[in-house]
Amino acid sequence: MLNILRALIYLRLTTLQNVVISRFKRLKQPKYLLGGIAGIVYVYFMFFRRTRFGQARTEMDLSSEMLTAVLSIAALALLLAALICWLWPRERSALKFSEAEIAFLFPAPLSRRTIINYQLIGAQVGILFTALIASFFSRGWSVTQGDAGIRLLGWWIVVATFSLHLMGSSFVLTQLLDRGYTSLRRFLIIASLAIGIVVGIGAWIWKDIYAPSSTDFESFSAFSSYLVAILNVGPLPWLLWPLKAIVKPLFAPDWIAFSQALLPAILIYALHYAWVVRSEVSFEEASIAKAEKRAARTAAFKQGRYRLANKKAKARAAPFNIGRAKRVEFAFVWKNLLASASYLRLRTFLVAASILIVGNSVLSGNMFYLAMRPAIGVAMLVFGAYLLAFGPYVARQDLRSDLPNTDILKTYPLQGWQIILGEILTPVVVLTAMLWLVLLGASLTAQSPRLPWLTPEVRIYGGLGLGLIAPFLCAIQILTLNAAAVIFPAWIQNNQGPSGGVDVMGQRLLFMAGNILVIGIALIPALALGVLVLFLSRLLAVDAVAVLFAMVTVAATLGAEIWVGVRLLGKQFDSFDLSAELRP
Amino acid sequence: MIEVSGLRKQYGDFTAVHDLSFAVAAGQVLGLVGPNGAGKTTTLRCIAGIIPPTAGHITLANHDLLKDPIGAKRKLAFFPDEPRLFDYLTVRQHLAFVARIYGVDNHETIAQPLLEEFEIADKADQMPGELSRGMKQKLAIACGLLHGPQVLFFDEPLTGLDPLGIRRMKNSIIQRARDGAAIILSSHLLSLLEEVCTHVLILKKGNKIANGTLTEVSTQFSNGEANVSLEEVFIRATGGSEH
Repeated sequence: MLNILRALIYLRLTTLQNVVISRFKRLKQPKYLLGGIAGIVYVYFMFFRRTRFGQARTEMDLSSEMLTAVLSIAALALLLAALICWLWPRERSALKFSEAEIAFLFPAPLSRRTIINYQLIGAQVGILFTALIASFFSRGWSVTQGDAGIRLLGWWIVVATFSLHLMGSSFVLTQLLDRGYTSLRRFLIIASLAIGIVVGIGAWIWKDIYAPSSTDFESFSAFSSYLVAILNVGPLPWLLWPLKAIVKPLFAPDWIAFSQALLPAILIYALHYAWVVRSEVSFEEASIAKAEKRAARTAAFKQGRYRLANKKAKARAAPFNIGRAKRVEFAFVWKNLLASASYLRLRTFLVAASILIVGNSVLSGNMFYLAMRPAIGVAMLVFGAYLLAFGPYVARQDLRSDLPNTDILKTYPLQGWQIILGEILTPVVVLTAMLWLVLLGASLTAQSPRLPWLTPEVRIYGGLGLGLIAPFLCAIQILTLNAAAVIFPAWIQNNQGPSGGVDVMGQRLLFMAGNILVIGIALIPALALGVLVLFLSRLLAVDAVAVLFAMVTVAATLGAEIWVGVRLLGKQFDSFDLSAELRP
Repeated sequence: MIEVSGLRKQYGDFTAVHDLSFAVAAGQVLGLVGPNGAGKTTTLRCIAGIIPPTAGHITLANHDLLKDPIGAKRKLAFFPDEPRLFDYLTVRQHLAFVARIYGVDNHETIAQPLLEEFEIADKADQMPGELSRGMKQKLAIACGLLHGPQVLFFDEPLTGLDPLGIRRMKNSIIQRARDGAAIILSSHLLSLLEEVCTHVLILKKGNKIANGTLTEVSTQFSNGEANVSLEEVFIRATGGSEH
């Protein structure tokens, strides 16, 4: 038994060691080294620098009554979390194993308890990481007065015990499922039990509790006194004791208090452990299914198929008749729209635009609407700005999603630029339609007597002008992101999926910074020409028309840049070899 | 139909294919064999226009692949070992998309017999995620054949097919060759090559070891022995190792 456990621990530790070594080894490649440096700088400024120079922790002398209140609140929070995990509809209990672990361990002569122990040992790395993050974020809390070690161990006890509870509850729920209880029946039974306990306790302590008065809310101290008084009534202290025991080490002010609080916490943990290993529940089949699902999801992520990683693709009606598409590039729009959400269609756009126009005219006599209209207009413009800035990263139905199909795309009898243009059109069309809706909404609502300069002319010409440049602004961003996919496919591949490491995080940061820089450079000539035209046309025309002229100039300049970019990227696409780019 | 001369492909200092020359006439099926890492897939990808060669000339159905890639690609179909399909298109939508890309008019009249030939007509409205590995392979092949290519490249075409699917695939390849197509197929399955191929090209570390009809290549490595199997020829030609 000990030998087996030693072998399994060896497997865990060797895996961990090799992961760390491989992460260090890949730093030899510039893309990882640069990413690693950027990631370390980011982590330093986000966490460590703040610890040294940032806000100092608010020191607060906690009275024993306040500490009791804090413990009670934490215990109640834990109780609520535990209740949710009992009530939440779940599938059969499944332990987290990799496909390799299943292939090697399940047929091996190992007892069920050994396999569970192995799983629990493996889970400690994740639990420790969660505890580390939690102790980072709780370092400024006045209620966690212990040093970093106490906070880390305190969080570890909370997270480890709770994860055991989660596993134990899933075993019980599976046992109920095996006995023919449906999810609804399980929910009703557990909810009835919980309500029964609450009602029973309520009846017991009804005479001894009282509603809080306004003075109880005057300060935290007053409220904690009230809470302590209520939670000390009847059986409540005994019922909350196990939960308080779990969280007490976290709030220990020093190591002596921590060691005193440790024993009860370990007792609760040990009871949970005994409960889990003694549960006679079959987890093997569900674990295999879970491992297969996770492997498929990881594979889909690595290929950039984010949506497929989450759910099964469903057949959809074609967005338009592909046979009538005059240009071959529209075939890509047809294909990529099929891969987009089914509501992203012309019909939806027209219905939404109609609702905006009709709704605005119907409500124009309503005083509340008139009062709220400027705020709605501003909110729409802010949303539009967010959409413009982040939409191109989210709307990925272009070459970024099709990178795994490059071999097939390259056998098509098309020029590289045709493929690039066809691929980028879908996100441009979708984002432009959304931006036009936002601009329509903003043009209708952004009016107020306090903003006299927002005349109907300014709104119409401003809306038209912004609407004119919106597709070009989207296109230049999407082209840049697709260019990155073609020029640095290895970076794109590394940036996809649940791959870890500070270096990969740094790569993502560098990648975003690079995109912003390229887009900024592309915008300079367009904006410079736009300003020049605005200045000149103001001499000849009214302001609103001058703005429109300037917008046309910006759009034309961006259009020319996009055209050149598409042609250049097409040449790059013709000559690039994905397999060579992805060689280690 | 397929003429390759002086083909070379380099990745940095590493040369994957060395000055390779060969030809495949209409109606011929060339088997591309070699140990792992011999350069088979790189060769196929170069002559299918997927990756640019470092040097050399490739002519497909009288179109120079480097000077007239569009014309050449209209005549070819490439079938990778792993079927590459679009996750959100049904079987029917795949065919509609490919038909538009290749400018095939009234594609339904061509697509339906193909779907029936490959026994996926009843799956026409299903997504790739709902198909087995073999079905996906069949769909990829139906898509490739939709525009009536004269030059076909298969990379491990039998992977994932059941015995019946294997037989149908072999017959399909032979039938396309009889119809006048020039075919190159890369495979480790020497029995497939013996059954289907008229010619064989053996590669090792990017170099051509042998090229000719099955009889010619067998004679070259038989050392005077009679009835030497292709497997034995392969082992003798490649020295029995990858190195």
